[in-house]
Amino acid sequence: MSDAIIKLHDFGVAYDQKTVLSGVNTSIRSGRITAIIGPSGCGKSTMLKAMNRMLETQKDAAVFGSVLLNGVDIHTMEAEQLRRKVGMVFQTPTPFPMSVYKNMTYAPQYYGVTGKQELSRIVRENLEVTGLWEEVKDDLNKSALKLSGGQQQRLCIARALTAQPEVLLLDEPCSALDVKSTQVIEELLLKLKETYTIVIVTHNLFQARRIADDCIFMLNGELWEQNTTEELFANPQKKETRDYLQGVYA
Amino acid sequence: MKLKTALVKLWAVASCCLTFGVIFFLFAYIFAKGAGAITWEFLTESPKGMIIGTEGGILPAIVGSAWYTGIACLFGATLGICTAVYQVYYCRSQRLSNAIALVMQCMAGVPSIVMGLFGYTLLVLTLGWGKCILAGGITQGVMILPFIQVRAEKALREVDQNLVRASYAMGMSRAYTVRRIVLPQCLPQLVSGVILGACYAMGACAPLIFTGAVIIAKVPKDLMKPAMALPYHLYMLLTQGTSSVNAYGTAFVMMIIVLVTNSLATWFAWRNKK
Ligand SMILES: Nc1ncnc2c1ncn2[C@@H]1O[C@H](COP(=O)(O)OP(=O)(O)OP(=O)(O)O)[C@@H](O)[C@H]1O
Ligand SMILES: [Mg+2]
Repeated sequence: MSDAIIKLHDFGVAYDQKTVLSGVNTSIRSGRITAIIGPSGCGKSTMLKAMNRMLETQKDAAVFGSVLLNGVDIHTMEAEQLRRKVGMVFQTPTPFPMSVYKNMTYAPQYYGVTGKQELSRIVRENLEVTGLWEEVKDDLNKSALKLSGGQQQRLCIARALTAQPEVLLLDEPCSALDVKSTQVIEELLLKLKETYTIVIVTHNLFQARRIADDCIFMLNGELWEQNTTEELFANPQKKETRDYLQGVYA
Repeated sequence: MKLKTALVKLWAVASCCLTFGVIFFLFAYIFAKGAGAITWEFLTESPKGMIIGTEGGILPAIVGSAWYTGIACLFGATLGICTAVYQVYYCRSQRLSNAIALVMQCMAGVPSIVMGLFGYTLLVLTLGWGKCILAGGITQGVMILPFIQVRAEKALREVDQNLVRASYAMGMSRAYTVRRIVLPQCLPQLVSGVILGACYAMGACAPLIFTGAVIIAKVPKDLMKPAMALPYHLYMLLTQGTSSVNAYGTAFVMMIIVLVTNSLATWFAWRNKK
């Protein structure tokens, strides 16, 4: 596939000598939403964290094989450079304990943006994309901790966008949210895929089906099956995939 | 079984009472004996009299102690907090980290008089500074360094790692993350650690004996000159049998300073917690 933005080659991960992910070969296509599904403990988060080398922040993790971003091995890049291009949003919202505005200027300031107008523009644009602008524009100095869970998660997405990434990794971003907030975030992701490539780990098969273009099914630390979402759900090639989709593992 | 519980309870309550009793008695005794010596003159004049200290006040000692403590805090806090940041956020090798912890423990265990001797040999003699405020302050700074480091390390480790990870995940460097997320998060604990260290330094006499404190000096103006210090003044007044009233007065002033700074630390930590 020519439009692959991330490629994994014979990729594997071991924690403390214990292999939890092995022999993974896959491509993530750009401008699409790729969902990673699979039973708990099969290595979804591990694979996601490997894509922007957040795995390195865990001392005992060892990585094998290679990950390419636009054809470049990510282990030859500076971790900071890579993470700027490949942003990440976590399961529980992680708003910084400061104002909404400061959350949004945190990364731009690091990258040397100082002009007040320029900063305000970045804050506004990214909050608008996530639909948060209307809700918080009257009080940008309000503490981000005072937002609702769904708002916090959208703030985290908006904040990740301020670093101008190409790829956005999301690890079960909706699992701590109610139905309404989940829906808002799903709509947001569908909108974002025009500009960003999105990889999302989810436990929610309906969610994968609703938003994902491609789907990766993982089992026991291996990439079991991958296809377009439509094909995978309609025509699973392997028995385990079919079982999982029918809820046997859940 | 019931008896055992009751006994344990009794023992706990008794220990509590004893501790509070001792502290209360200490404060009450010093306050009762020392309050009488406190006059405007006592706080704003230099020691006077045929035998120095029988008359006059303790102003040079108060100001001197402020200088010593200030330098000690500056020195101890800078090094202590930087060490802790290095240990928690930069050091990758477990061995090095353990080594740092061991060194800090050893430093914390060095008797303060030995610290004084160290300051004397290194700063006063080898570097040729002579007895002076800077030498005394730095010696005290070395003494409170592990004290501050231990507290700073604990505070740094308690910072929510999810926030730190979120910052790294946006491509922020460790330095930026520490400056913008970590340090603001544990500022209250850091400040209260430094203030407690300040109290410890202010009350310590031993490190100053060889390095800076003198029996009599004017209100200090030069860091490279020796100065009086409250604990040393108290020590002289008592050992020379000069004036026990003024000795209690000096003790009273020290206790007040400790009380006030401690309350400030508590208040600061409490205010920031809200
Ligand atoms: N820090 C760690 N040290 C050791 N083992 C770990 C560590 N993190 C994860 N593991 C193990 O690696 C395997 C994969 O974990 P991972 O978190 O990637 O699973 P997951 O698919 O994301 O599961 P879930 O759906 O529950 O989030 C699990 O067996 C887990 O026990
Ligand atoms: Mg997971």
